Amino acid sequence: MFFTIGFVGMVVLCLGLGIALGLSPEMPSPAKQPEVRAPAPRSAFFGPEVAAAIEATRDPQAVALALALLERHVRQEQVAVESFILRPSLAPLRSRTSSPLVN
Amino acid sequence: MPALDSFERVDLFRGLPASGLEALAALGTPQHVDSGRILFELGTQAETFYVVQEGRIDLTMPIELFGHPEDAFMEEVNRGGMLGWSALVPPNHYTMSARVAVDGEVLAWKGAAVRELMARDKDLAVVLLDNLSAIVGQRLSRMQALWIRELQRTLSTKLK
Repeated sequence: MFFTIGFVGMVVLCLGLGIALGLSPEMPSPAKQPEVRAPAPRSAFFGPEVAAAIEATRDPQAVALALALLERHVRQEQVAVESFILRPSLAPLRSRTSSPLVN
Repeated sequence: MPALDSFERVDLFRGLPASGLEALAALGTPQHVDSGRILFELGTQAETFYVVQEGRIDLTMPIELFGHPEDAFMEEVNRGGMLGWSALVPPNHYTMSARVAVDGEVLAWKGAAVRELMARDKDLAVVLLDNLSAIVGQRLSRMQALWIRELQRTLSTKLK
């Protein structure tokens, strides 16, 4: 009787130790949990397609591409602004450009 | 000493008498500038201003890309254009960075030397400050319009 209780106690102890050490196949350790990634913050400046392309690649070519897009955007904005400088009115402040960063 | 005829197309010097132009020419230093050179950086002490004689200078502002600051194009300055006017205006901190985009030549003036000249020659000072006000005012108008356009876009998106 005492032997049986001692054996059962030993089995329970071993199972508990195994679970504690992460050896049980039924209990994945927290480190093995699939990583839950927070959604990327939505860019307030770039359009969704450009923002997604930037998020996907982070190499020097991507940086150069982003800077080239920015320069094109700024130049297009400046053209729109020049007409406001020459003749201030509402229209040039609301006109749209073909910049991919905001379309 | 730089040639005076090259001053005719410089907005900052418009309307100056020949004597004033000569005095300024005596203080200017021609410099050859190679592509990629940084003339000045945002936030640093503004001691020198420049007039582009040949080539092209890009004014840039830092913007964060992929977690790193990058110099983003804001404006280009071509022949006859002035940059670094902060050297003449307190608190004498550059408000943008300047990078040579196309090899060329600039004329450089120490702001302190030109301010001393202005203190001695009030007529010259009035014309220079008028021109400088116009240059700074145009920059302000452009930036205001750019800001309003951006604000308008944001409103159009958010209030749909």
